[in-house]
Amino acid sequence: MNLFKHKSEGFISQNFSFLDLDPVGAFIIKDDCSVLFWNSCLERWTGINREDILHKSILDFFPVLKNEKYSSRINSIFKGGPPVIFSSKFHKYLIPCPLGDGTFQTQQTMITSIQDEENDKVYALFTLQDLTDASRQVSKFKSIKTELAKKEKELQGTLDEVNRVNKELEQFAYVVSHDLKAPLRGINHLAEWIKEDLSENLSETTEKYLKKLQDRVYQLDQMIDGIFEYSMATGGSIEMQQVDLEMLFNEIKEELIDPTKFSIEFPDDLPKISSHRTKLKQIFSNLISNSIKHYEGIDGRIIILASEGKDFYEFIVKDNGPGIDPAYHEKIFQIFNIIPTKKDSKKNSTGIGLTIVKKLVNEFGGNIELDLEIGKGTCFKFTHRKF
Amino acid sequence: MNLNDDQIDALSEIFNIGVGKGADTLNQMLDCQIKIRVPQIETLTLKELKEQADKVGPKNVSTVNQQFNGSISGNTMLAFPPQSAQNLVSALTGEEPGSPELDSVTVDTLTEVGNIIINSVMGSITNFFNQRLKYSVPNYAEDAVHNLVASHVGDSNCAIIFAKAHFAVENLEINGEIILVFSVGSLEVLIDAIESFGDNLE
Repeated sequence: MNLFKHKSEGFISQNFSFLDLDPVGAFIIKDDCSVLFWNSCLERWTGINREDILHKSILDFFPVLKNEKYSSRINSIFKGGPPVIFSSKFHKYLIPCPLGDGTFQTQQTMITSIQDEENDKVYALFTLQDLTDASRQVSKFKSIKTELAKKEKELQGTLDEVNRVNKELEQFAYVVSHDLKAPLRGINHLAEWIKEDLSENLSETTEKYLKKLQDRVYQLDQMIDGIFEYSMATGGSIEMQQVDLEMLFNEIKEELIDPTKFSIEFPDDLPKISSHRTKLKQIFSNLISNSIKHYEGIDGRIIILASEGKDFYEFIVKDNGPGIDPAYHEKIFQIFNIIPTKKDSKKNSTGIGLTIVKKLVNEFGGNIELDLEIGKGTCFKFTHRKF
Repeated sequence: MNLNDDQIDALSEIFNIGVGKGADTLNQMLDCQIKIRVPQIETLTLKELKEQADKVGPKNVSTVNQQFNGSISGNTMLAFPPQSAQNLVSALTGEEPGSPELDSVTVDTLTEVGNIIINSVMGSITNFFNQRLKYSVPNYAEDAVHNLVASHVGDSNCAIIFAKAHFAVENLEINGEIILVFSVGSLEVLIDAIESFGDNLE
């Protein structure tokens, strides 16, 4: 028996002493579970010295290996079976190697059979790889990923909620504007009938009051139209298409500009951009209509400029009109804020045009701002994301 | 080599015994209720395997490979299509299925699962041989099945036993498919060994 032990040791020391050089834990056992080799890495990891464990049963040091789930697979090695792997996930470790913080190494263990043909024996070589850092990193990465996914889900939930509320608001505005129109028409009719009924008995004062009543009804009707227009402005399809800006500006010029009073200028090297044609047209039309509405002379000039940045286009629409009183700068994009002008345009204003422009510009991922010097006209600058 | 129905049946049974033992080991080790079954095997050449690449599985599968040499030489591969890999790992670890890309810990886990099943299949096959085989260290690889078989066996004349194994975990309603590809230089050696083993029993 002693002789055999000696022979085995010779075989091991001749063939496996290199395992002392490896940064992996390695030990070799015989089929009776006695330890034939215990490398220096394991001495360090476990605190068990080689001379204390050699020729002793590994099961005395690590009784957990008696467990059927380990022993059946380890025994297959002595029958010459294929290598056996114990992963870190299922087992964490086979041989406990304490770390400084009171925890144990995470290991992957592989067992391979070693044929000692000279002695007609099969041994089992265990190699232990320390995966503590790798598995900590993976679990850290996983928890970051889970956290991110959670945040993304929350954000999506908020976005969905915002979209839902927006839709509801638009629907509400649509319904309200539609439903308010009917009683308003009724009031207008009643005023007409009162006028007809009183006919010659209609006093000047009453007529004046009725006229004022009808003016207010008209104004309210215009505001309701404005709400309706606003609620419709950003609904519908947001499908992008190639928009020829030159063609678009010429079309607006044709529809809005009286050439005897106004001129409109824009560069002739305008690009085709990916946008929503109807909505983009509404932005320019509203800005240009404002310039026209507020202009008092006969030689009005509107200039459109376009430039291209990395992610955005920038557009400028400026005129030589009266400009906007600084008192109204903050409010111009708010709904129903009508800017008073000398020209009697109030009747045609609902205070909704610029609100719609802002909403549409935002829908294109851009921003709009007023850039003006009093007396030098009005200048709107807005951006449009490249799609 | 064309196999007759009896030979196909015998091989099917050998593979079923192998994967069944593998499932038993997993159940014992992890205290779970996984069942693995090989309904049908087929024999193919490497050329046929390439031609049927679409049927075999996705372009990139996770595989565990075990090469062997001796009386019979070749490679046993267990391939996990991505969804199956996730389902299986989550069933065995009790964790929520994660993202389709596999981290090193999941790869490590799949390698052990592959190792257990392949070893049981190899045990089932080597029962018919007197001589011990020599094994390489099992390795994990991701690629198309036919590319991996070609790289392991390297001989376009090799014979391939191809089987889609179904796994199901009771109570969890988790199931999926594992592909088992056993490629050897020649099937005759295996068939002869099985038949002579049968003759000896008679």
